[in-house]
Amino acid sequence: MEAVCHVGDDAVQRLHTLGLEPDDIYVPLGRASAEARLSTELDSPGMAGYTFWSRCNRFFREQMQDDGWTYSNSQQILRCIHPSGRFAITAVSASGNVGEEGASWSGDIRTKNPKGPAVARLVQWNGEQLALFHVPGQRVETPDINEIPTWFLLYKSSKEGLAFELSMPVDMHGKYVDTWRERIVLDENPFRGPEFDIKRLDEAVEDVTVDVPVEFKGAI
Amino acid sequence: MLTSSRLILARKRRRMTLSRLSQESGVSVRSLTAFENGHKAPSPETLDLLASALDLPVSFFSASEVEEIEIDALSFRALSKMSALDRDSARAAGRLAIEINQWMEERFTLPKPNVPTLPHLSPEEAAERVRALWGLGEAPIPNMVHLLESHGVRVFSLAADCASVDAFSLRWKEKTPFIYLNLEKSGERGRFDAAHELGHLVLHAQHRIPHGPEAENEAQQFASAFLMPRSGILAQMLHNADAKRILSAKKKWKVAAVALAYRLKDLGLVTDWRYRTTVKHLSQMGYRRGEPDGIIRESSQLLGKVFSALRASDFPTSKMADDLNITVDELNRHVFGLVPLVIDGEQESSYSKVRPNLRLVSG
Repeated sequence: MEAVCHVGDDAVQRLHTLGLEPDDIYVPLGRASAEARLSTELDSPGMAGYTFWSRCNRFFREQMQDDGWTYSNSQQILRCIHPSGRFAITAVSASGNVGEEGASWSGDIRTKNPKGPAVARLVQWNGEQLALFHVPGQRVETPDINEIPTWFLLYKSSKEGLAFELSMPVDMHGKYVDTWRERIVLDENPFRGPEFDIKRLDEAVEDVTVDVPVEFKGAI
Repeated sequence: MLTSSRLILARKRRRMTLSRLSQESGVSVRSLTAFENGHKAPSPETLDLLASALDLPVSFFSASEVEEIEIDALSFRALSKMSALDRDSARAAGRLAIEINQWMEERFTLPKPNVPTLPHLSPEEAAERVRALWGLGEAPIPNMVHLLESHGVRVFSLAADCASVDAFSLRWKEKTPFIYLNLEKSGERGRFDAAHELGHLVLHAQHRIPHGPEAENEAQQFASAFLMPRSGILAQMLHNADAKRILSAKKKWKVAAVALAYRLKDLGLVTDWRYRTTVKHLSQMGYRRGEPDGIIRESSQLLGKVFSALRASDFPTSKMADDLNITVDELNRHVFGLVPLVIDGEQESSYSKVRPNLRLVSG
């Protein structure tokens, strides 16, 4: 199957087929970012990043709980499982051209940290799946958690802010997951700006503007 | 037809007693009392005299009734040292700013109030809680005014003729929070005042009325903890910091040097002796009365956007003032220092640390 990148309305529509709204992505990322900002120089150097990863997964699970999603930490992969039990999502830090429509399907975006055999098997399984599963309907036996497709909610912090996308990994090179069959890139990114850079959370960030939304109703 | 509550509001706004207004207008005290009580209506000629003496359009006095801001709803610093005239003038100015806000809300969608009330917490705990709720972590706050505005607080300028009054705050109808800032102060002190007033809004709600030295101390502690969070300060390694180190460290938090020195003492990072000698040293360097080489005063993003949108729509400021039944001068006093000043309809001046003799002119 040919790799595809969903953007604009198409991205929102694709999220809908997975039972997700854009806010289901924005809210966990925003809350995780706020938690990561509680780290200071007196924490371990990787604390902000670790906090972001753990809390992003937690907040995503909390966000989806009311809709019947469940979770699994099997093999130390923090997954949030669709109520149908037919696919899961995990938040993972990434590097490269995250959130960019023009990124190549292989090599341009990769997981930030090396992954072990459990993730390797998961990705291999993703790659061997038939053409994209269909979420609603289709009553089948509930598969094993380690055999269902797992989407990666990829996020990357830089001085420009936080970039993110929801992508289906299908291959690795070395210890890094770097090949994607399907990518969902939302147009709107409320996390632009250096204040969302996890690595620089402790620095005094100059020229950061808090936006005060003011909308003219159009009639005076 | 005279709306008596408006005559009272205007007189208080101009810091006038009945006898002073009588002198200025030539209308007897007895008549003024009757007008204010609603027992008698002035003739059109008398109303003209009153309007002229109070420097407001005649239309102001016949507009709809205005409900005064209750004294108990306000957090004035050093209330006991303030004259009743000063206090009432500031209250009346605050009420007019509420009218300005209402005018804006009818034409613009503005951020909804999102300021928690935490009267059961200590100032330190409350500051930490608000930081967590607003997702601020342990980092410095780049701009207090913008932060407040983004959480639905309406920030106005304390009119220059109320400068004897410090900043104050209130929740109008127990809903929309307002903060009035004295913009004569340094940028650092303005930020601290804004955080202090946020402390009143957060701590002194519900059953706790915002008065007295205890409430003021609590608001000071809140401001200190909010602007300089404990964990962030500890991470800066400021143990036993001297004046030189404090002058360097304060830039991160955009606070006054003396405020940081006090925070370090409060957190037990400097001894009493070190604190006293440091403050003395800072005082000799001029950091007691002002803030040499300080930051530029913060401005309003909300008001800036509103006035920009009005300009873009060719809506003159004079028309806004007409809608509000006040003069352009009066309107200017409430937004002064918070929005760029329009000089000739196109150009904007930059902000100044000194209050210049410029005003917002209809564009």
